[in-house]
Amino acid sequence: MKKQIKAIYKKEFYSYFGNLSAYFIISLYIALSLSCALIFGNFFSIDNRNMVSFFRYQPDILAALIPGITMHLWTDEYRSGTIEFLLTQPLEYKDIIIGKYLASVSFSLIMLSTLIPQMFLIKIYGNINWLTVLSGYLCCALITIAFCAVGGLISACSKKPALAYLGSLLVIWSITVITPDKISQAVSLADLGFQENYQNLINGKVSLSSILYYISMALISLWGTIAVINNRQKI
Amino acid sequence: MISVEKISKSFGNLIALHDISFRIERGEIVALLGPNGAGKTTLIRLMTGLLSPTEGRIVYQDKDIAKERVSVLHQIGYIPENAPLYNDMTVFEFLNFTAEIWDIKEQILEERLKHLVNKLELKTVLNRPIGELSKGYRHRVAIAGALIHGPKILIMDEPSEGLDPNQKYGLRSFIREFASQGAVLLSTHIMEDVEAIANRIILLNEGKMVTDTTPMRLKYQMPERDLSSAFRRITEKQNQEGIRA
Repeated sequence: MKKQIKAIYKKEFYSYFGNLSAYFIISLYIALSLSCALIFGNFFSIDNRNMVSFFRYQPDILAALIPGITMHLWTDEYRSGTIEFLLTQPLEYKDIIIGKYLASVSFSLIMLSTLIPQMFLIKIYGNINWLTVLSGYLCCALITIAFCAVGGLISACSKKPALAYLGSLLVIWSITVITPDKISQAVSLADLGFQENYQNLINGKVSLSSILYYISMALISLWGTIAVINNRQKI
Repeated sequence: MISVEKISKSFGNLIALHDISFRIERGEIVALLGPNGAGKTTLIRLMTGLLSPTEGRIVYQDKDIAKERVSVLHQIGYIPENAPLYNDMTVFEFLNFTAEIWDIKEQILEERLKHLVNKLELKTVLNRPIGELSKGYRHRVAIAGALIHGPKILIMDEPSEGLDPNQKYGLRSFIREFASQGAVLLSTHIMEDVEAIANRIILLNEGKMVTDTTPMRLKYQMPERDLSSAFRRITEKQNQEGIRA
């Protein structure tokens, strides 16, 4: 990794732990994951070898929490004026964007890792289908990677964290809920649906097209962020 | 050192700067003057690569900033208005972060840090969060950050805004010393600063360059023999002509 990207990454990553909001988000994630699985996911009444109870609500939980992680990425720089400092350093804009993005992904993956002990909770109650569960974790990680990029893009478009949060929430939620399944089926592009790719992965059907679906969502959003920052520079 | 060549900048229909040209040589302290909205900050943002010109170019020792931004930035130390800094970092963390971005070798960094910390009297606040510092200290931290890579050109936007007389005095001494080995461009509307340190004035009004002269000449152009009156007369005259036109 380039030294400059590393410097930006370190600054951003440590800034998450500089206040209580990071711990609040992680605690909220654990609470939501557990309560959704136990209360709404019929944890005790269905076969949970694939951790279905846990994975079923992850897109909604991540859609609500990841905007809280990404909302400050750019809005704080705009509000405090440090964007001028940052953009007059010898950095390519893409380096700044990658550094910030990787920091938000790392933090989100740490948050996601709190789901691992829940695997052992299932083990207490019965068998576990390790490969399918691993595929589910991979799916959550891919969603995180994609949502962080979308959240970063929306944050780059706004000067207010609250607006960035609401904007990201709206866009991410739209991606998860308004799936273009019917349209895509009509034009034989079924792979474009979020839910379809998600269901495939949590059921252990790992396919390159599903992985590429989330990675391309992240890459398109990162490219969009570069365009936004470049455009702000040119005004 | 710096050559600003026929620079124009428009934001939609608004012409913020029109056909600005000048050069800045080593040893010069150039004050960029003008009323609010004259285009000072836009010009500074163009000179630091934050904005791209609509027309013209800005060249630093044969390098066009629009084409070789990263390479040109190595020659510039820039302190924006109000010295924006990361409030949650300590002074040491901030300087270290800046040094990491500039990829400064450890030995050189150690020497430079020692020099800047002594020169700008930052030793007592090194481990304090920037958010807790006074305006004067924040300015000094911003200067240290801007000089950590050893630039030859210092660009400052309203550097003495909000500083007390002692802090202003310290800042002026520092600028004079820096200019002995490089060049300084400072945007200000504080005439006291201009008289005390600048050896050249570029006056902007409504996006146009009105004059490029020395403080002494500008002063003696007017019957009052004072820079503030000269500034007022020139900009008011221009504005009235603009209204008539």
